Amino acid sequence: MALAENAVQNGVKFFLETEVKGISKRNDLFRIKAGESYYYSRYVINSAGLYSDRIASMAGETGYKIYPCRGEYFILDKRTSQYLNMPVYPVPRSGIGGLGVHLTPTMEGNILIGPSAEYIKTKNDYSATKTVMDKLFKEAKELLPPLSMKHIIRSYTGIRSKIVGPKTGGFGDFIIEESKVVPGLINLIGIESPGLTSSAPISRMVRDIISNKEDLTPKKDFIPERKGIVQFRELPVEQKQALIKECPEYGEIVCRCEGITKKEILDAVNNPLGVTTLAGIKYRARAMMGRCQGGYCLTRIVDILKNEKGLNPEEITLRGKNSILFTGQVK
Amino acid sequence: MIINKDLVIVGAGPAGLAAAIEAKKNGIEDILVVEREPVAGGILNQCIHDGFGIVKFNEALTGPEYARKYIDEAEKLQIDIVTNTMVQDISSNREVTTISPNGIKTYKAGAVILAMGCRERTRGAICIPGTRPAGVFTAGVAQNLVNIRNIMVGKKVVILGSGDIGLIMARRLTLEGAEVLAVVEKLPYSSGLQRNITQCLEDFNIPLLLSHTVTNIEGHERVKSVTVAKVNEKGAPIRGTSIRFDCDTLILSVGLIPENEVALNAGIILDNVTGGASVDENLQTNIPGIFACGNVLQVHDLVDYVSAEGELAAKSAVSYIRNSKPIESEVMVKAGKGIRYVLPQTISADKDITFSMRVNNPSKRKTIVFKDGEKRLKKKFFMALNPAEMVRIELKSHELKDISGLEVCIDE
Repeated sequence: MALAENAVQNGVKFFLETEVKGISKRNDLFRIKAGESYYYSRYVINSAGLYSDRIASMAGETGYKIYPCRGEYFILDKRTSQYLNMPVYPVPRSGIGGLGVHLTPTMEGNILIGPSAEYIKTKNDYSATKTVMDKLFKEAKELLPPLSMKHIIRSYTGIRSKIVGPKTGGFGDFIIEESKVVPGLINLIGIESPGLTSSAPISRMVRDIISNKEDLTPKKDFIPERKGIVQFRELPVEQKQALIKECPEYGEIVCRCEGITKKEILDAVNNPLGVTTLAGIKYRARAMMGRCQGGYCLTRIVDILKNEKGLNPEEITLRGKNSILFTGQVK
Repeated sequence: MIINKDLVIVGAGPAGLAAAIEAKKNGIEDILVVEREPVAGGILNQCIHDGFGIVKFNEALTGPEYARKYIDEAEKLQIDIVTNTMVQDISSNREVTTISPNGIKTYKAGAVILAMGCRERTRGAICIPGTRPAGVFTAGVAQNLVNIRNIMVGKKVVILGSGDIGLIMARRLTLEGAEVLAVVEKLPYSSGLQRNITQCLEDFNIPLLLSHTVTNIEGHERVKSVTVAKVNEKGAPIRGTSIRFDCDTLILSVGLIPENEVALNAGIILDNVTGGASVDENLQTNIPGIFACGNVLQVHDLVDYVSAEGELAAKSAVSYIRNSKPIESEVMVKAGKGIRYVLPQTISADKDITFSMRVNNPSKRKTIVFKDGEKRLKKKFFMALNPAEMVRIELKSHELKDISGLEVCIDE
């Protein structure tokens, strides 16, 4: 989110919920059909993750195939942080598609258990499964004996974009290159773990690919800093008092479990990308990530979206599009 | 700057309000009730159905009506209730730190009464497999949205959990035009009050599936279907019994958890079974001068007893404020066969004590017995016992005289 917002600050335009439907090239110009419009550009950077094979194919480069490999996680209550102060990994066993079920204490004080690794058939099946949940718990308990079911506050899943299939197993190297078939198409394919850590050097490699073809001048008025949302809960008391005096909305706790204030939610809602989904607020402000999972703050966040953004109940979504929360007003 | 208060009460729900009024009536002047909502009344404000106050007032009031009686009384007695204010911290020497748009304040309290109520158990905590679409709500949140914010949550609903909140919401959502396809209950019996099963399910022809649970949720963006399966005695799903309900909403009524986060930070010891503080007959926790009452102490089914508990906590707090003598509670109370928990967990046995408890399983024609070792102190016969209905039994001080231990169990 920080990267995206910094990009917006520096002039990048984001078109969210705008699916690319087709890519063609005439002379040196790509024509991209997305949503209801056409977009024209000289370069296309294919960072489409799970669908990077489809995007490459649309542009004329077939031959890539992404194999979706799902990983499930458990998140543990912050009260478990007393049991662990460093990541713990089992000795890796051969043949598994990942590093094995490990324990990771987070910056915020939770513990993550996982991930699992399971090749699945479709690219959008984010289900958590009983078999894997049981396995995660059992393997985690071997590493952390005090673990009990009542410590679990949530499970979630992600899907890796692997370029090696289940028969091959293991890992394939990242594909970071200009297409030999379609010049100007820069493919970033199979960027699974450690993709996030690698994102900065990958971006520099992409820059180098382009600068080998034409002159790139560093932007003069580039804004290198993105000011994050104030994490009120982390501040010393005197600073908290000063902030509340200046802005009383810092004194209203909206997310009780994580101590998130109304001002932080407002800042999250008024983000530069124009996102007003609950997930958007959750990822920016952390509200709804605590042990009550939005039991206290959901209704308050709904009020804020209504008052700040004029959203009607049936316009409030979890993650955009059809993930609508409510059917409308009561009769 | 620390402000002194005789008594700080955390929460202006039914327990906190009853405690405040009782303390004021007993001569404590400087009381502060801290409430995080914009209004007093607690969870009662969203309970627009009636049935509250049958024991206490001989009337079937709605939640807000019951709360209103106490709010009016508190106003008349000029009790100071600060709203939109959250307690952030309580120290073991009774310093209470609060936060509100008016700033952060710390109070040094002569005594503290905890009355924070409960939060709901979540989907994440019970690990329901499947996707995580929009349309999964805990029952209390759904109730708040419908009753307070006038927002409707869905059209075709499955409810997991036959506790009172789930039953009430089955009826509520039906009255608001939704189709409630089933109430699904993991146990072989409902965990709600019989009158709610009759008035919320039977009267509306809503099927109750006992010994069933939800095994999967489908839907990428919004709930599309929910799979339900029969379970065995261990609660594990039985192969081949799955039923798939096409629906757009799953309501979860799977348990209340006393909200003791702030209490834990103060060093208060909780009872593993109740989730609330371990207390003596004065409702004092392990920390002298800090008392607990209402749902934060044990999950109640009748608000009338919540009020009674609040009054008891207040009387004890008043006693403590007046002479600060640590009350000695030496006798441990044990929940024996058939009994899930007993409150209080420790007693000094020098006065009349009302014990609250719940049984493990429903049964008929049983006797609950109080024993000191092998010596039987008291017994009480019940035509029917139900885990959903709290049992309260009073023992007089002469019945408890000179005991060395106490166990409560169901006679075999």
